[in-house]
Amino acid sequence: MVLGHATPLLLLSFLAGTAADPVTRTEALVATFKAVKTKTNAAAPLSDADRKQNGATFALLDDFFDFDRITNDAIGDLKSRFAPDALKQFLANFKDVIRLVAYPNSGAALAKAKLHLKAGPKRDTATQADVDMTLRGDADDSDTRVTFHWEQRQGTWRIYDVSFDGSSLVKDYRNQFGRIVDKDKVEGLTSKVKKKLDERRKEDLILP
Amino acid sequence: MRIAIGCVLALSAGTAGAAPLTADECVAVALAKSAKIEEAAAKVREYEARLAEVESVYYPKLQAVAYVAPMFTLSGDATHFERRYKSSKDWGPYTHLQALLAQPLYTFGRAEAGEVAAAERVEVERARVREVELAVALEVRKLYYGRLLALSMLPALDAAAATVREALERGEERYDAGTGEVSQADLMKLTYGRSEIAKGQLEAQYGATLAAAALKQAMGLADDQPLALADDRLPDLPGEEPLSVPALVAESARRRPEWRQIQHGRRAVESLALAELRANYPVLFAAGQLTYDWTPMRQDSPNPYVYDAYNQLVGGVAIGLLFNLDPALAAAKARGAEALAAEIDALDRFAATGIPLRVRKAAGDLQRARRLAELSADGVKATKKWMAFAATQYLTGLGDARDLLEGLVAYLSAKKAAYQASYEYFVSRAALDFAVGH
Repeated sequence: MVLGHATPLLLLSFLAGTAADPVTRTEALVATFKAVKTKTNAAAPLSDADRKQNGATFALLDDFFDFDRITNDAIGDLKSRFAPDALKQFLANFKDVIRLVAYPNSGAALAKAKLHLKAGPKRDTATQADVDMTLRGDADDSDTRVTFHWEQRQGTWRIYDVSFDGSSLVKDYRNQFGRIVDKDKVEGLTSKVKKKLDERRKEDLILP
Repeated sequence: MRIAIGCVLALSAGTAGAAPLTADECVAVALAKSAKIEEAAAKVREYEARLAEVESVYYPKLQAVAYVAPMFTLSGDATHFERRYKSSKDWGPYTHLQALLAQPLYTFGRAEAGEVAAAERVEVERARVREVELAVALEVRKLYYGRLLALSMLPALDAAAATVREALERGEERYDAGTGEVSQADLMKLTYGRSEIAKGQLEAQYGATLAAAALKQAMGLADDQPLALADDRLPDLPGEEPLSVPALVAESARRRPEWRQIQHGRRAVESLALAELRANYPVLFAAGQLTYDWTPMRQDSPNPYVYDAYNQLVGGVAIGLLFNLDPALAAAKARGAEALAAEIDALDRFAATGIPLRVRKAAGDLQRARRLAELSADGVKATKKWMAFAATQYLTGLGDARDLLEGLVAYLSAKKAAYQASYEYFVSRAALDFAVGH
């Protein structure tokens, strides 16, 4: 089941209930992604009402992700190369980049695709679950399998990684970070992410 | 039954709002309307007429001549007579009727051999119709899937065009802003990519239009006749079915029309040779003749010993033999029949190896195309992933646009290869149906 674009935030909030099973949580996540307001014209800013609604939607979406784990897994052993304050700032910036990139872009991509959700292969522990989503776009008649990796902590299911056709996004971030740090040091990586964050903030999708 | 369905579809194909046709339905329309098949079917009717011509030897033949002519006046008898012709009153009518009715009774086997030869020739032509039907079905399927091959690329090209257009717009903004991220060379790469994609779109649209026009022609439809087709993209490959090549070869031996052509052709030639061998045999016939002449301008003679060709009634019946000897012509025709027999023997030898070879090749092509399609699907999946990760890195500031664009080019290339393999699969399947005689 996939909900339409105009799903009221109240209903989304209900669907996003943290106690729901991972498949239901994934359905709610998709519906919430679709509720994000994006610019139809690059030159025309979003209205204050849309930005306000986006603020609420972003907050709902935040509850689906274990950003602490995502960002820490992505930086991996490179943590030791950062000064403590710089690491804290980098992880916060990286989280915000993910939010500002993934939230509006995912909604647009999911709205164009036909979706099919099912529970993925069982994991070893009762606290982890995979949910496979098959995307079939109008412009492309081949399927893309997106797997949401969920983990339950203190009764709440949250996403700690996403895979495209079996390849982990977090792992790819980790490798990309390593490559950039090897070439441009920690400062280069920090600078790139900060630059992107500043660029995305200019999109002005939510009220400050 | 299939022809009947084809006729119904053929009638409905031309009407506005008709249901879109699938590949099989297009074949059914073509079988009902194709000019090539109509031509082959007309050939059957031509040889059926020749058979009827040969069979006409069994029916009675009537030959008659009747006329009216002016006759001057003649009176008197054999020794004293007077002719008058100077005045118009001296002239009157003379009528003549001569009729010969003949019924062939026995041809000593010649007519029977000719009849068998003609009947077998009709069967040869019927098998040729089936051969043409199979060829038309193959052509229609090739064109149907050829159109889909062109159309299938369009959505991917359209999406790529949108991506490159957006990248170019953003790239130009950044170039103008002087951020140092984008060079003029980068912009020109994107501009070149945009033109290549536009060329691909043009080729795909033109290819689809051309294939649709050729499909109409192959289906026997007029160029201005509307034709709605069910598919606008190559379908997914069906589940794999194990192919038994020996079983397919055995099936082709039962189904391919060439075998029927050879079988009936050989009988036709044997019978033709026999008919020519008996060409110099007589024909036993029964005949009746009637001759009637009348004119009031000549005095009728009651003396039966005087031959009066102008007032008489003569008739009679007879049984006779008709000889029409032309040994040189008969020998020449016999040599022609021998040459035809040699031709059929050669065709037989060719078919014995050629048809199984065609079946094996089509089966091999089908398996190769499926494998290629599977490999190409892996390529599409890999390049899609390439694009997805490159896009993620680019959007989060960790990667550059070049990776994304290279991924896009690789994706389009993989997509094209995948559709080509898919097209080859469906054409190979049609070729296998053709080779087996389905």
